[in-house]
Amino acid sequence: MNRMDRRTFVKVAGGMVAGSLLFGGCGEAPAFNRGVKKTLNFWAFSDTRTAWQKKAFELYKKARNPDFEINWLIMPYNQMHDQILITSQAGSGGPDIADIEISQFARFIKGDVIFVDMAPKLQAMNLMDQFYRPSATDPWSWQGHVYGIGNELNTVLLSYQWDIWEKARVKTPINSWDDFAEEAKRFHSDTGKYLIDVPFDAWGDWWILALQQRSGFFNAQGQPVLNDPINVRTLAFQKQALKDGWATTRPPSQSQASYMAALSSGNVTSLIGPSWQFSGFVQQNISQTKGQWHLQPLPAWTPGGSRTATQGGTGVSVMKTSSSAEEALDFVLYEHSTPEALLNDFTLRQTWPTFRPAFADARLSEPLAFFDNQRVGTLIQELSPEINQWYNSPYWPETTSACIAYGITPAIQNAAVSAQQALDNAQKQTMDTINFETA
Amino acid sequence: MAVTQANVPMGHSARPASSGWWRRNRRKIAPYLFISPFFVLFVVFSVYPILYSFWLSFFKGFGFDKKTFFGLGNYIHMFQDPSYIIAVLNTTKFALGSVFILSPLALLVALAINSRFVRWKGLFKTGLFFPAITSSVIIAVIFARVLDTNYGLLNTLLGWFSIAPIGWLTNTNVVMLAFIILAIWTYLGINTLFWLAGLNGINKEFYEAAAIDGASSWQSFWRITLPLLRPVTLFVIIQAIIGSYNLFAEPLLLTNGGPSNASLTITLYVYNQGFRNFNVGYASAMAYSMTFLLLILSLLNIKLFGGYSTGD
Repeated sequence: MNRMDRRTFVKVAGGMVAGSLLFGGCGEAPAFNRGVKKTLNFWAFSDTRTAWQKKAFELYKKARNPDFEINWLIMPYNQMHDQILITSQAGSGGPDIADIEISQFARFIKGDVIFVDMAPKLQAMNLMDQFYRPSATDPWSWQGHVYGIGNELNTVLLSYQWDIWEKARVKTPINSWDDFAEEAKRFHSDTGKYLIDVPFDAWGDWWILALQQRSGFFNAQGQPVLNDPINVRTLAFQKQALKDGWATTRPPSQSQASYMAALSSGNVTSLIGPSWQFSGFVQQNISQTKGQWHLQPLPAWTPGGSRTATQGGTGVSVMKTSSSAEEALDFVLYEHSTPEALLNDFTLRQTWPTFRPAFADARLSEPLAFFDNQRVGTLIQELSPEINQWYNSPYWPETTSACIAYGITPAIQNAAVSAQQALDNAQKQTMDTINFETA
Repeated sequence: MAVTQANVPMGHSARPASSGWWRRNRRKIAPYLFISPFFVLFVVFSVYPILYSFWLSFFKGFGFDKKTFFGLGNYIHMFQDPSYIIAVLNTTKFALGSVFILSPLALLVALAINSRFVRWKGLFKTGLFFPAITSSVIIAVIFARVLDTNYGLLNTLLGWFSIAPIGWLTNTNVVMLAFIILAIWTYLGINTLFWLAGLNGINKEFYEAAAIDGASSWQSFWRITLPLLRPVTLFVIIQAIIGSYNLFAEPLLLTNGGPSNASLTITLYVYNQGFRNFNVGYASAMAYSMTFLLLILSLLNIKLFGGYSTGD
């Protein structure tokens, strides 16, 4: 066997490096051909979310026999969204399909939108109206286009520890927020504990209550409306709850352990949120409370008003830069509109689907032990049509951060700052930022 | 083997004139080729982004395309932006804590470790150094439990002295103090090592001569130790200031800049503007404002401490 001298080695090694750079670096990175089948890159930030999608892809392969495979890549939450942004600007190197979390969507619709519009295909397939759209498409919609689709039906419910409430003779179900306030006052004076708490550094609860009354961050044109009368009234209600002493301030968002301690100790006995809250965080963090929870519709603000809202979620988007966008879109819509695929996510994460026909399956409405054998799916199915439509905007980050920093936190923490003053200030700060960015 | 050797002269004779040039110059060029990978990476991933962000700071528009020239507009806007001003003030508070609390404390610890009364010096040095090599994320997780208002270790400790719970991460007035406490825990060790290096560099004969002249320990400290530590002091202070103005991960993870921007730092605001609002021109301008600020502070320090001279 010939020995390789140093010069030859350097030449061969150099040639290999140059060759790999040349062939690896050129062309369109997203979808590449490895000789047998194309491979589409799917970027995600949660392995539990990819778990059901991997199963969905197996079903898809059986049903459609596609000419591609999927390469699943899971990255940390911030890193993944940042890298999608960077690769989209670079024009190559990004994924074909990606999970996009609701609060991250806005930055991808500033300037040229990098995602494929799903609306034409959804309409062509007669699928659009088969979804609960406030959870399925509203979070990823902008100016009539649908740039992502979510399978998580985030119908908001009131979860409460029924054993504590029953002992304190709290009347259930509580049908209006006025009744809730009365029950909460009595409960606090009898037990020294609280029916509910109010976050000071997060917009979630405030937004749920505002959306329940058809308001929120933006109007239909995507312009911020933080000091809209409904929003002000909602924050004033929360502020009054603290002032009257029937609610307490929630620990900081980053102190999840403290919040869970407050719930598990029974100091705070209810929460409002969707399934990722009551089926996710609560079951994962305070599993010892199994069987002590019941769910009911949100108390209404007005007779006949909506008894629910939606909150959060992660959708799936297809990149325009993908050389296989059509195939990618076909798979994404398949997995979101195939009951068998969606039921896998219910089995894995107890996620109810946004696709209405999937509720025909009785498994979604089975009694759940964690909720004292309540048929949660039936309740969700009953309430989901009441979720109000809402609007996203490219100015989501500017608006949400100003809403917390100048609106919610000062109003909740400082008795001297009224809800109106705080939200006026938040609206002004938001508009100043937007005007500077767009002038 | 024989075949290879036989082929070499043929190959040489068939080479064009350019290979003759390479043969003449290869010894001069080869060293540069060997060190070039570092410089290529340095230019691509450091020099280019630095220059590009400076260029971006004069433009506005979302993202990196469709920009419009904005002159000094981004720089002017900084002074009208209340969030930026708050971020500068918060970061400066933290830097002051690093310089006037952390650094002297580290000097005290270094003096204690360096004294003849302390045994197991290596153990203390290693123990104190551990937080410096701990991930910021882990530190944030630890301090979320230490600083929690209701269940935190610090408030439990204060409770033993009948001090009411303090909202370390929820009270706008004390949140930066919480980050200074966190920084003391994290960086005390590395700063102690800096001081120890300086202390070990002082010639012991100075102390012996001073003792013969009747100087007390206190006088030796003020007249010998501190003046001779001047170059180390300059280094410790400059790196404390630069490190402080780069505070990012801890406020991002513990408070996300809250409550009410009370822990918003410059780097966190740059990140929010650049990656959340996608306002990269303004984010670049803020990053450069921090560069200028650090440059000025560093030059002031060098002037104040008389450069790197030891003063003797």
